[in-house]
Amino acid sequence: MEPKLNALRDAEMRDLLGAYALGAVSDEEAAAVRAFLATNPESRAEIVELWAAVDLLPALVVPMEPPPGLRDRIAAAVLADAAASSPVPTVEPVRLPSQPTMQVLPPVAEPLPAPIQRPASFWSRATPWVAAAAALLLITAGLLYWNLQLRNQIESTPPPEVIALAPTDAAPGASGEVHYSPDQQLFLLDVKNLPPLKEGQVYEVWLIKGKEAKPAGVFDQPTDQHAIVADRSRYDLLAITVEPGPLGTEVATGEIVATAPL
Amino acid sequence: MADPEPGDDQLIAAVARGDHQALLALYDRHGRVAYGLAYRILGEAGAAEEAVQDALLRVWRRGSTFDPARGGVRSWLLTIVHHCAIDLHRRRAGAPPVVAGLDEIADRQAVPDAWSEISGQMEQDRVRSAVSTLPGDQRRAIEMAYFDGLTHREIAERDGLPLGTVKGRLRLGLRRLRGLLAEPGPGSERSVEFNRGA
Repeated sequence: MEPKLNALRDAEMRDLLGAYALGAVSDEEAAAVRAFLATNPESRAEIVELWAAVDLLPALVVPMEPPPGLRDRIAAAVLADAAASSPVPTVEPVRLPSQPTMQVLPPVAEPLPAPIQRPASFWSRATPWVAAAAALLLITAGLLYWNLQLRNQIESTPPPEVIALAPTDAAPGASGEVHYSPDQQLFLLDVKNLPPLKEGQVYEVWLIKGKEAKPAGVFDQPTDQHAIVADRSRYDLLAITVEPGPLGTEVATGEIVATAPL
Repeated sequence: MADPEPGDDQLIAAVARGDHQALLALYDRHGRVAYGLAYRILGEAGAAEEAVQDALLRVWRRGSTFDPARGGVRSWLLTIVHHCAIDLHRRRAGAPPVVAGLDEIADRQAVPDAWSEISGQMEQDRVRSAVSTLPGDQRRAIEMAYFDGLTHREIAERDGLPLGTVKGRLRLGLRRLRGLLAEPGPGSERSVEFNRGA
């Protein structure tokens, strides 16, 4: 009886190979197929053939020119990832006991912190030399941060400070960290799972001292990295809000989705 | 005489060493297909951009796991783009994530580089032509799985078909496609050896 059952089971697994090759199976089915393939060389050969067919399916799509800012954002993300993945000592994350209320304030007179990353719509509107300069600044900031990490290891300078981003009730799934390098006065935000934006909206970063909130750049991806040049000692709080895009606002109007004490 | 452009294998080896310019060179070379694939799946520029950026970041992080002796860079990269795009598509639709994780994608590297084999003799036209010769129900099932990210159960529910019928269409369609593309193309001087190194 058992051989018949096994034969039935094997036939079921073979029937699933096409769906498995396309990733069109459940977790349980995938695990069963993998176990089956491990002991069935003939079916292993078939799945290789099926995968080869799947690999050609991108030929059915029309190649498209990616948005002009995407290459720069990939470069920035990679540099930030390289910096963040350098082995650095961590500090205990700090969490706010309660979420502060953002006050609507007039823009402050002093120079704004330098925003490093802009959304695609900004790039498409900017003049070429501004876009080129901003791209250079973006990549340079990433390199500076990376360089700082390497110097920290070699010269035993103080490591970047790490502060946990605390989600608010408006974005309970949000998380992330703020890395601050005192030597470079450089913040690197690493945010994850911010609430989805509606069309035309952006996330805007604010640096807050007392009742004054200064805009510190915008980004448009729920999971993203964002760099800011600013002196931590001059601020009490970093906050992220949702604002009208593409350039954000000078005065906060939207809900706070995450904060970090500075 | 100018130096020849580095091959994909050289670029991915440089990525594994932490050379981010090599990653950007791969993006320059394959970004149009990658973005077109993500756009076809997601149907929206911002989401396609997010998927491609996520995929390239994964290529950056996992470049050292790529084994050029086992498969092609282009297929590997596009598999990761497809994975990221389908994952985002399903998350946006409130569906469970795709099954294949990145470890499984690494396992798929056992597949020979079909793209390099068809280069210069079939390209897109031949693949499209082969797909167009599939029976309509097989083609539809494959496209629903590959471009819409549906499982075979979801396809069966959507089209009101028995599970076995959908499973059969997916498997037979892929096998037929494989067979069609393994035949020599018009004017080609050699047959395509898909089993090379497998």
